Amino acid sequence: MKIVDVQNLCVETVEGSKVVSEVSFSIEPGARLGLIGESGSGKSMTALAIMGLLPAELKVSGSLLLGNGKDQPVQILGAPEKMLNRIRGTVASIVFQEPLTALDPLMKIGRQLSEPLRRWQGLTGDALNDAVLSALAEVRINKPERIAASYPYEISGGERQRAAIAMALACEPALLIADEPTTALDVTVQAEVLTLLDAVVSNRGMSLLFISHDLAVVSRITDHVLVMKDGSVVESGSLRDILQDPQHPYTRDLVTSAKELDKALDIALATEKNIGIG
Amino acid sequence: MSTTKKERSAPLIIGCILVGFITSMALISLFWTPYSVGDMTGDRLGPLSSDHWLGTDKLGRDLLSRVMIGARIAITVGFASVFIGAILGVIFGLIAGFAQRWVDESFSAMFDILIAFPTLLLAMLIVAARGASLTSAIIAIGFGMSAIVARLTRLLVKRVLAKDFITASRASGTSWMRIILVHVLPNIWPTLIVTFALQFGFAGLTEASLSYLGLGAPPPNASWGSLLQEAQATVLISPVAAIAPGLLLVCLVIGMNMVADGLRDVADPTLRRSR
Amino acid sequence: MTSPILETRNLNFSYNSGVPILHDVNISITKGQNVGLVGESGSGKSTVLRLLLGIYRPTQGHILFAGEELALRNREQARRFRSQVQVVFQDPYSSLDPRQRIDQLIAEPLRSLGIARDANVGGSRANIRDWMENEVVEALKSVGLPADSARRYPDEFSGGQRQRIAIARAIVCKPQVLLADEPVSALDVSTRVRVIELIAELGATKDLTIVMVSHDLAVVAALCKQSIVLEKGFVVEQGLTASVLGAPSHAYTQRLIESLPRLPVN
Repeated sequence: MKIVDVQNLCVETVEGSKVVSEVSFSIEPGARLGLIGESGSGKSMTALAIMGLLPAELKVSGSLLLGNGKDQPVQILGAPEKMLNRIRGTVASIVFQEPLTALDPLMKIGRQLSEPLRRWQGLTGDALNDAVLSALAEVRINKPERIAASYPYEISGGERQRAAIAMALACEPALLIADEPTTALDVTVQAEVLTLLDAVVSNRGMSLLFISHDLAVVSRITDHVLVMKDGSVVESGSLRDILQDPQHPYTRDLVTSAKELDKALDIALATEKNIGIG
Repeated sequence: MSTTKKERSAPLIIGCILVGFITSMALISLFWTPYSVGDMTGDRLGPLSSDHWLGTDKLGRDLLSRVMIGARIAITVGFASVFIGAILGVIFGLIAGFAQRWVDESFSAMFDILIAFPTLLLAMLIVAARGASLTSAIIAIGFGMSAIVARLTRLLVKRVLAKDFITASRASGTSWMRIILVHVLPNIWPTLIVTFALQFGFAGLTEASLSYLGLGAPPPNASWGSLLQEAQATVLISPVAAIAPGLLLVCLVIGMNMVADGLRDVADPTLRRSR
Repeated sequence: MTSPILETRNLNFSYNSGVPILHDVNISITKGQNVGLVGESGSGKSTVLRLLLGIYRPTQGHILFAGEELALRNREQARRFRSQVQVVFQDPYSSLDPRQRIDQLIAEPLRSLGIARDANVGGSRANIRDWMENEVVEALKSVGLPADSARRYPDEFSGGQRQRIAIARAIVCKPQVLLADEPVSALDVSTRVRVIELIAELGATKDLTIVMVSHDLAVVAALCKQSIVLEKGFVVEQGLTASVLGAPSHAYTQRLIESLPRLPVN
């Protein structure tokens, strides 16, 4: 049974311009999909649609089934807010580029994290406290006690993103959507968060929809990708195949650009070594 | 595009009609009113008639003439106090916007104190010093407004100064004076204009409250506020005497609000050029 | 060996609050040697750029411009410095005044630095205007934008085009040094590569030395011969980009390189 099954998803603005047009894809339990696109490609809109979080004034059509792999999948499009609320967090969760938007700035991390845990697992008192700390430990936060007692603005960007991931995982969703989760982070922190995401998703056997503009970043997480441009899917398949033989002119442009930068690095990284050997 | 543009300018048009109506009343009153304001030309509390379109007040004075003079006072107060408020506010706001640390903080504190200080109390102090007159009211309203304008200007200036194009401009050797004229003012102007329009309406409202309390233009001048005050006792016998100035006051405030809304859309550079 | 155009000696900087940002930074920029300032957030790399631009004043230490101490109160030096050292920023939406037309925007350095006046001594106002118009079109051309862009406003352009306009403004007065603060990190990947190519080409054809702040080692590798790695306000490593990246001696540089996301090798 599929976790996500999107068929002919279309999102239109009031003025009639198509933000997402005829997008179809599905994710099996435990599978990963990379969604690649540049700004305005409709990739974030697709993510929001899965969460039932699209602004109400947008016109949406198509079919969007979401399931946890056990129960009958439910139709997200047109679903009542009450049902969506039950699904969010427990069936699918999302992590955004900027963790500050996902965290309440006026609430300590520990309290924010305890809320879904209490609602979902019915924990209270010391048990709840322990659950919060172990959730923070799972996302490899060094001093869970300190972070739990801090407000979002008191901790670093990397710690915030880890806390946001812990929140997203709290209700054990079957699907995690990560929308450019490392774009706002420093390179070294990005590498750590990517490793963390990879490990957590494997350990839990979750499905993952990973959204990014960066081919190299996506390749760290999954090989199965979808390339979007101007709201449509222009290419899909294995990232390796796409890198080797891009079909669509846009993908070709994207791949050439990424390779060019990568090559510049290769040259710089290799020169001195060669000199050293020679 | 054309329909949305029309929709956007609808409030501006309605607002302009409302304010235009009041302004033309004020302008006409400069040359002509049906009767002289102070003359008792009819029965006391006379009904609406062909001689007195809006009837007469309790002293037998023509109400339409008095309402027209009231429009003149409201518009005068609006312009004059916005003028004072704009000049003082923009100058001090610019200074505070460019200032750093304690200078900036003291200016901000000053603006906040002035804003917290009720305009009514300020007006009473000024009236106590200079006597009740239209000028006193204008000074009080303009002064109170300047603090609001200054605080807004300061904020807008700080926001513009944080932009990279200001740094780029400095790196091109552009003088601060020129940066203010070419970059800062044009960028904060649209928001300020909207505020001026809003404050214009509120100035009319404040003047009415001052006159209602007897702190505005002395009789026989007829501000809408004093008309309302006079009509208060006889409102059941002659409701028009209260409704006419009240309705016009509402028209002025709502009209200026709509003008402000409309200006906000027009001032948006992305809408301005997309035709 | 020519003397450096820009040089810092024991540069220290702290904000008014007293928090130190930079510690004893010594760097030098010589003609034709593009330099990349590499570091993560909080490394102080953008602060170095703003100090080199003369927008911040050092708390301690010296900045030398063409061998003399940078003192922008000296108007003659300030003019020379401003026309020789120009800047491009990261965010193309914040770096162009939305209320100014592109030609006014690009001509600003020519006007403010009196370059237009000096180039047309004895010329009438109309002469000066024509001359400026010409320079603006030339600058637009060299960044690959059509001449009719001059009559338009910033909001009519995409991020990549705006960045080209910002570069046009920076090169219109024919500077020797272009300071660039993360000039491509706000752009999409394909646009990014094109803007890098443009900067590289301008560097080669216009005798422009580029000093670029970036967190992206690939961009630095593509553009800069020299690299300086900053960590928490300290220079931890500097030298030829090839040796800094190819054989990093400092643990932090090694970590930066290991963290780089790379395309899978086929």
